Amino acid sequence: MARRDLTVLESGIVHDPANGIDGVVKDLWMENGKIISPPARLERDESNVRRIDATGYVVMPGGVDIHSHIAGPKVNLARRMRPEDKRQSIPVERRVSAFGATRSGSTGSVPSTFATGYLYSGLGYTTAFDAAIAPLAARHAHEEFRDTPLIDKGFFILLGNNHYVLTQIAKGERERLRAFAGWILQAAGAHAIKVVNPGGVEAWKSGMGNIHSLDEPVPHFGCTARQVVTGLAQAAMDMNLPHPIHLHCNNLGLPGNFNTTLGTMRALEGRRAHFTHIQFHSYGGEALDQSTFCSKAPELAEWFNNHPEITVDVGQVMFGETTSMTGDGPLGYFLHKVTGRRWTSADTELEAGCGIVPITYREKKLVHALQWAIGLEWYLLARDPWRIAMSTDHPNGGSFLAYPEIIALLMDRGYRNEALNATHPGVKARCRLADLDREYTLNEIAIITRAAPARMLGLATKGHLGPGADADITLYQPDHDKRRMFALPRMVIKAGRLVVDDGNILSDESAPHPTRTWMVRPDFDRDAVPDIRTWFENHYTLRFDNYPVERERLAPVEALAPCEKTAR
Amino acid sequence: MASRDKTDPILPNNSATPAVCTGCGCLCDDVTVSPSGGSLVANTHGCAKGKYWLELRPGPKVSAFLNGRPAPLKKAINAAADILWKSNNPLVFGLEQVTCESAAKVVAISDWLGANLDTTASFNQGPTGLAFQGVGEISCSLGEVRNRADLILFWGADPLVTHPRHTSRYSIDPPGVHVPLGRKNRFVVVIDSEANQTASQADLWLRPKPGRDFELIWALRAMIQGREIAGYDSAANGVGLEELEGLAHRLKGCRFGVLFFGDRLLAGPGHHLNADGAVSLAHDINAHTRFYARPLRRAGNPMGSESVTCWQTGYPFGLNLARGFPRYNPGEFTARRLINSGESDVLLTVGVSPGDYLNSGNANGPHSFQHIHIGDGLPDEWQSPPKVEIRTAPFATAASGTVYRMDDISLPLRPLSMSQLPDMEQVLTELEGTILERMRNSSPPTEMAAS
Repeated sequence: MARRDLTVLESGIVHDPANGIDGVVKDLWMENGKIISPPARLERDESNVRRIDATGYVVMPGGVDIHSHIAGPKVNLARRMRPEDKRQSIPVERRVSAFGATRSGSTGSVPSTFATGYLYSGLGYTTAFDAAIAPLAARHAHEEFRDTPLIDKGFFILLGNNHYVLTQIAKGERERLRAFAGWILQAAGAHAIKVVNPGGVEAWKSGMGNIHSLDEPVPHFGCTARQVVTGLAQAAMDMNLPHPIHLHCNNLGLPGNFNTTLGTMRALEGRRAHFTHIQFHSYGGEALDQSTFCSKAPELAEWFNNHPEITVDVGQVMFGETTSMTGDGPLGYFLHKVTGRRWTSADTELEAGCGIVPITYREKKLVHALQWAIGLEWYLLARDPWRIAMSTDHPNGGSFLAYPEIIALLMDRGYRNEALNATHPGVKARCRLADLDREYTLNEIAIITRAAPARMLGLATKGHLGPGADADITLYQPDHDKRRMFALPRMVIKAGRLVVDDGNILSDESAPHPTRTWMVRPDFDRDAVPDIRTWFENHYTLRFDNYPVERERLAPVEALAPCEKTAR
Repeated sequence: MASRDKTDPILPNNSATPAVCTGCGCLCDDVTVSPSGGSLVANTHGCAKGKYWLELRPGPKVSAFLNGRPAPLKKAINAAADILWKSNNPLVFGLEQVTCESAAKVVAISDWLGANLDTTASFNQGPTGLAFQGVGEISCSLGEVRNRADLILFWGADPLVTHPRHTSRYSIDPPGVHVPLGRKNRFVVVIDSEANQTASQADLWLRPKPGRDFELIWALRAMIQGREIAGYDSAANGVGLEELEGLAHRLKGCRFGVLFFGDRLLAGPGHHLNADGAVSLAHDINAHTRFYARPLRRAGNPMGSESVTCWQTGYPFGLNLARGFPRYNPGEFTARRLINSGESDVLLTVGVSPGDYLNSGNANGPHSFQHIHIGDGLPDEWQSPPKVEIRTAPFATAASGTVYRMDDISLPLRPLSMSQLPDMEQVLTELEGTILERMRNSSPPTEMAAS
């Protein structure tokens, strides 16, 4: 019998909610980077079984971040714009020894690529998705992914203001829209369709302001935001994409925007959709009167609780210095005007916009404190943890490094109320946070930080520890201080290899750990390509053949997500 | 010196193959090249600069030199690794004619060594980088300009000379979605104190007195913001207030305007204020209409290598890795000062003609340094032979990888010819491996524990 290369993680307290395991002491077997069923005794060549003693440790699948900004031109412009942000932050030091070598990096709100991989991994996360890449920037995003070690990655492409998309929607060409979406997902090597401020970015780029309601026509195209979201949501469903449209609604950040959000939910009723950074879209009040600003999370959460076809991530705001970055061009300008701080804008031909502004969230400022509270309301009001994912919309609401703090706020009511009392006194009257006494269990935390986002993304081998899953595992030392517990995992295992041991990154540049980039390959009507090519060559400033990302540019291993009907 | 050697095209016979021309920052990808009599003939749509750039030239046969004498490649790489590894304060400089993949290797090498790392941006586009950090950046891809712009303003720039197809491909002439008549739908302005060929195509040419650009920018900003202007000296500035008011009116009234600024706006000390002003002016105009400001970038892949440096370290140029992590301080960690002050004992130049930027006399002068060069052969003007020189396959025609256009759009570069010289990325990969090996075998475990 051939010798097998087996690893067993022994006697950990396993939290694997996807498989109904809630704090059960058990062994986990791994082979070739995958979780396997315990081999029969005869098959174990004891001399060749690597044993890791996990006694007393909490064992969870590796964390999965469904919405983060970690790669591509927008992120890199933010790095370039903010040297001071990095100078004030603790850098990642280079390490070279006989055992391995890791690269140096800068941190702050927008860490450099190697630092991003190490920091995520050090936090127990093994997968992260970038939320907003213009298809024309896909090659750049893949290049940065190649330099982002230790985590699996993927990205969503911006289609909500794409000229071809707007044209097909205006003409009612559903089939052609689907063919284009399928073609461009493959050309870019992307995982899902992202919609940002549908129609609004194009209006801004045309010098016509923004789109403020679902039924306002997009300048020069005539279709409405309602048609864009429903059209693309339908296209994603028709292609059986593993992740539905990833939607950033119109009017982000504006008082009274919950009406637009609720209207969008109604427009999509019955269709699958992921509403991202929902906190930023849950505001009541008058647009021009900040004193009326209040939470409408309860109203939206009620709709959410009754509609299993939609999922959300929160986009939690945390206090401190960070960088706002968005594909929502007009929003960037709005923030620049509100904060009076530096503004970077970068528009991509026929596809997308971008805005970057430094921002400091202050707990004594009513609006900021209320944003913080509304995020927490969402976590506590969402009844089904399988449909809500933890996010800070890194770095928009704060860094992903704030996740342990959020976990503490969710698991400990006393700690949360203390924090609430330290914020602006006007907050309590404008939201229901003070009345919510729910406390998350460890299993619920495992759901919203790994099992649920993996399921929402359609990653069948992520977010759980059953046979066939990727052996991405995090061990935590149980601790009453949840911030400490989740900030410093005892061990992180990626694809069966120990990559973080007590805070030390164990990566060897001479044998870099293979990470994967997830993407979809949906079927599409190839007869549509000549029309796309003609349109492309008439309007872009590069050749059609130079647009698709070459396969050799992709990460060493690519992972194909299934495009077939899966049980939900 | 180098003997003549024929570099062979690898294109299929007689076929016109699409190519990306890196002869200027435009990175035109609509050019084609065909093999002809052992050389390449490029159809660059009338651009002489591109035609010259894509020509196959007889190249050197020997790839590696030690102290000016031919040596085996492996020996040269080992020698380079030894010199770099033993250096106290190495400076890594260049990254113009490199792919992003090669640039990534150079940043890695700098990281392992704890070197200073600087790109040629610190000599020309440095002010732009500083301005972006001060006020931000407001840019768009060149297709946005082509499809929407009805006002084009070139400031301190003469694209007809420096970027010959910029005007026909992206800015002045081409019809676009919202400017269907091309040139007829656009108002073109040139502001330049010097003779300017592009001005012949412009609707308006303003000629400030040399060094007075900042005064014009600031007056325009005041006008756009609706402020009173006091003490503007028309005679000293070379442009009258009325002319300027006419321009301000146009800037506010356009539908989509873009300011392209060139090296002439950025020349001289303190002129990052000009870049700062150009971006701030674009910011101001956005209170009225859509307006952008972009620098015109040079040949090769400076955008790409800056981008790579930035994503790997957080900073685009002028950085130091000696403390084990990146620190950024242009002026302190930029090439000019490190060479002139004699602080760097070893200079590694990659993908650049160092004589264009650095004074070769210093190699033998009071501030001597050991020089290692990787890239195209050094020109004769660079007098002192480097300690180690490795000539790699010509970037223009034989490199393969990713390059970035001046507007941050990436394009694939494919080799058009076969060179007997080694591939730069491979040389750098070997150099990195050799340096790491030296470091690993010598660093005692205690060093890691202490750090």
